[in-house]
Amino acid sequence: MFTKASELKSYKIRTPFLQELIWFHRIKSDQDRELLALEFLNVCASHAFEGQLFDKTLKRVRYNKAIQVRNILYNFPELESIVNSSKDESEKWEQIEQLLKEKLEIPYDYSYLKERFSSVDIFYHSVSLLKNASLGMDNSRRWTSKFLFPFSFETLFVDMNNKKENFDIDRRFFSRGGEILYMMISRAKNVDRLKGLMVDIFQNSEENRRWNNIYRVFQGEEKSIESETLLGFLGIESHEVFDRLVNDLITLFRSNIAHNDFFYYFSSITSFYMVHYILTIAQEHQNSTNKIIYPIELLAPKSDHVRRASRQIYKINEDSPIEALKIALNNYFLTLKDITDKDVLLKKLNSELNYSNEIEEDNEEIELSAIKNRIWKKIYLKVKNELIPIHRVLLKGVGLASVKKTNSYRYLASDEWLKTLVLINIDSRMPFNDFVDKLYNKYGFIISNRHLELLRDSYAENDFKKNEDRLFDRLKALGLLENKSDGYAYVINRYGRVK
Amino acid sequence: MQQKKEFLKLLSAYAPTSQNKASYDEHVSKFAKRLGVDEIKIDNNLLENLFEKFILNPKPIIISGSAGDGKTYLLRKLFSEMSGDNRSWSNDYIPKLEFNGKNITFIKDFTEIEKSDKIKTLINLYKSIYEDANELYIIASNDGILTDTLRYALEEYPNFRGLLDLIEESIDNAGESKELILLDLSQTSSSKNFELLLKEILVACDRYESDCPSLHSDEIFCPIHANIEMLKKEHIQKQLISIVRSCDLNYQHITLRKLFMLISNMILGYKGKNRIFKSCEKGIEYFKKMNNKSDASFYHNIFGDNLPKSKHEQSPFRELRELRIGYETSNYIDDFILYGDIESRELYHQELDNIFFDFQTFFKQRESYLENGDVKMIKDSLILLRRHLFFNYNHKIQWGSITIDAKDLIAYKHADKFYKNVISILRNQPKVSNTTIKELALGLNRLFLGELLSKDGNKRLYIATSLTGTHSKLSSEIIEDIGFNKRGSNQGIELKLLNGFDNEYCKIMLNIRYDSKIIASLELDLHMFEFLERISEGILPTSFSVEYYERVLTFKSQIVNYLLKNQDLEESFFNLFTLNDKEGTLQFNEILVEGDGYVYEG
Repeated sequence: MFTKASELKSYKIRTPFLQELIWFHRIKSDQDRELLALEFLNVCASHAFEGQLFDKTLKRVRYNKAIQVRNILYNFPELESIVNSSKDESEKWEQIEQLLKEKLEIPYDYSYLKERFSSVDIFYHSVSLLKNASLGMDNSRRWTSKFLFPFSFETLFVDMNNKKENFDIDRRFFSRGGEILYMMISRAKNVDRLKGLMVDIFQNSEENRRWNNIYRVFQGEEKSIESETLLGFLGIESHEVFDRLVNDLITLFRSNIAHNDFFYYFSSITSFYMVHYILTIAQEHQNSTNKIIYPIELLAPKSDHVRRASRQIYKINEDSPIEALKIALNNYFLTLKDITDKDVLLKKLNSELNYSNEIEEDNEEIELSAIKNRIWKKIYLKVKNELIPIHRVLLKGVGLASVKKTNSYRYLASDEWLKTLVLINIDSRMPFNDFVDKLYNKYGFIISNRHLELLRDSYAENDFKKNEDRLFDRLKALGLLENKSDGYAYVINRYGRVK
Repeated sequence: MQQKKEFLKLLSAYAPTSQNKASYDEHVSKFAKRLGVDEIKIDNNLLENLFEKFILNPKPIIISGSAGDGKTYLLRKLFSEMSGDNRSWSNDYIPKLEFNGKNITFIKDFTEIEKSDKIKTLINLYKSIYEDANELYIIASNDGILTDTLRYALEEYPNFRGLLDLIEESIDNAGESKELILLDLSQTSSSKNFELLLKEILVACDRYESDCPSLHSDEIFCPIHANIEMLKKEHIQKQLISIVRSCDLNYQHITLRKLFMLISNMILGYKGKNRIFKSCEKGIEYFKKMNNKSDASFYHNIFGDNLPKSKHEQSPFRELRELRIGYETSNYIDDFILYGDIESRELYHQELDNIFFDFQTFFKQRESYLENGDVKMIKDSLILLRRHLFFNYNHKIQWGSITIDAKDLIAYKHADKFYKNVISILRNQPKVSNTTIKELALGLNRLFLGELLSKDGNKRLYIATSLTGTHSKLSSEIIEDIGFNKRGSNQGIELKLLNGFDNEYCKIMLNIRYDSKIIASLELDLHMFEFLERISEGILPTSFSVEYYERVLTFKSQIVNYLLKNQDLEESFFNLFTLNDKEGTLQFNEILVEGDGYVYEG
């Protein structure tokens, strides 16, 4: 693991490594489900345009900035009043071109617009059309963090900061989580199949051709593409979680649904797997081969054993990276105890753990435990701020975690999450009990009283049976379950698969 | 001395108390004999139907359905009909006989036989369908067990796949397949069974229980016979049958056993310690002391008000309680009940008087309500009187300028309309009226668009969607509109009736035709019909049914998906719309994009 530390040095990380070596560099808690998927798609687009989608040997990416277009769509609040003013057409166009040019340091030329739109009104309607098809319009984020809905690889662009001079790509929302996701997928076994499906949907979609066409109309001469950037760091070359993620994605993309409907489901399942990977690796570093389990409540009328188990395991899962880090750090320091030369020690700590500190230079003696504590403090702070919150942020975003009706988070299945699970795990129909079994065997979701063996404490079986009944009722209410008579209950996917 | 025939004791064995003795076919016969009365039986023609189908085309038969629907009973009758020996039926684990040159094996209950026998049966069933036509199997089974056993045996017997698919399809289609006859009892009419059963029980009550003292003296009140008297009335029976039919129309089948339970509770129930009376004597004795006769009224018993809460959430009470009879009302109805006697005393007592209700007490409750705001007691009275109005409904009540109609007293205001304008019509004709289609189209339009379209918006079906997904509640664009008035057109909205095994039970599908084929279907049960009608009348989608709203959105999503994948995409355009709020009409805004990068208005 520490052999890869030299690679990590390229990222100018200022805190000690360990989290990055165990998991990856990096993801931060401002990157929610949607932003994770968007960043991922941006990487896909970049590689796909070179015909190298999911080529795992590629370590770099070129992001599309599309500044000129975004200036029109998301940085132009004055447009409406210009359109409504009583000036004549040519004056309006002049005003539009002038304003747009002045807004940015880079003086783009917008004179092409009046040639391409039959009138200012049509221009305005077209701008409104694209704004209505955008993400992030209802929050107060900067205009450079608003994105067009990912209709295709062509309509994607990267997050930037809005400082006038440079529009650097900014790592607050696109914190590299999407890059990590991309790398995980590229390293999976079945990825070629996924590649074909994604190219069909995001590069060659007939359904979305019109969006590409109208988007292109807005594009000027500028081809503002960020020069090549290094992708994030993912130490592990292959893992079962990568393979399972890709298998689920393949099944999803084979669904007979409209292309634009994929985005929600795919952002949900990838967010889940991101969290699941974090927990799985944490588990591996605690020398446990136990399944990761998630006791999931279907909203109960009052607090019961399911909620209690769910809250308990939620907390354990959430904190498991901390446990893993502790063990890993301890184990690492055990390997250091025979080193007597301070310089050798400090050099090793620097190259492998990225740790250097004046205090150590000054001290005469080697105090391993003091050094360890100082390192631990930094590592702990980092993981608390960056990695730990991801469990909550992403699972809340997919509808699997909630504080509803209680005062701390636990796993609660929302309707949207149930729909995602049905769409991915059922081709056309499946008996209800088989579905519940599958959810446990495949994902570790404990919903029924039949799957309590891994819970350490004992919980009332009856509460879990009622929980399962509530799942039954909820699926029925969503139109996803048909119950003809005793025991003849099938969970249904009304869409089916295509390819 | 002649043995006292205790029919009511037999009836009470069917009641939903812990001593439900009537769970098993065999026990009931013995019990009835001991009490000196005949068993309660009905003939709903299923046997004739089944036997006829078999004679015409002898194929293996599977009778499926929930526990308590009479599967094994039906099988026994079939065995008799084919001249099987009764003793052989009782004694043999797996009875067999020869009929019309075929060897027929009867599996009395697939759930109960040994696992190895289950597999053997399936292998033989498979053979009798796909290979030898002289060996036939007739099986009674709970659906789930049959398909589950097949599924788990797939690994060892992969050829079972065909059989599994065949059975699942037959259950879905409730019709006939070439290879087997599948009668799913949960897809037969509960209302027909209810009607037959109620009549049978009332006849038996007359036959065996006419010596009740209340029948010879006006002073004596027997709650049981009070209920019986009311249940004999034709217009009340009509209302009862129609509410059980509402359950059928919502695909909520009530098994025969539950119907027995329901009627037994209706007649014998009371809000008291023992929940039911097992004899008239007990009932009479009880009401000598108490005053509240309404505690034993079938108005409350039919909804299980006399039973513990856990029973309310089970069949048959759950489905019937969902109808909210006694809770649904209108201002006019409550006004009539509370104050109607002031101006229209005669009409008031004509419509509201009944044996369970004491108006003296009621008027005192009314005073207490008006003076002190005391709501509790009067609430219970209101519930009873609303139920009375509903069940006694014979014709609309004209109270001055106000019309009181039964449909205001039940959650499904359009149940009658559904039965008359859709089901009854489709039983005899291929199409429903254009008016009906237009009402449904208006409902669908408002849901698809996410807008309160004006009432004129019922001439075409607007397939609307949001810009970024097909399942959203709000739409911005109309990608196609489908006409449905034209003759010989290759597109439209069609309602199709799918018959069940008997001619009572049926399913209605709302189909969208486009390009001359059906591209999407929506199951139109009573709840969906009610939902669409109410949307058509102006309610907001989430105020009636979130679940059915989801179903409609999924339906829309399927239509949109088909259109997106099959449209001719020569041009790039966006057909945006907004709703003119004042007039409720659609305003379109079309944006066209030419290939060379020019955008103009359509």
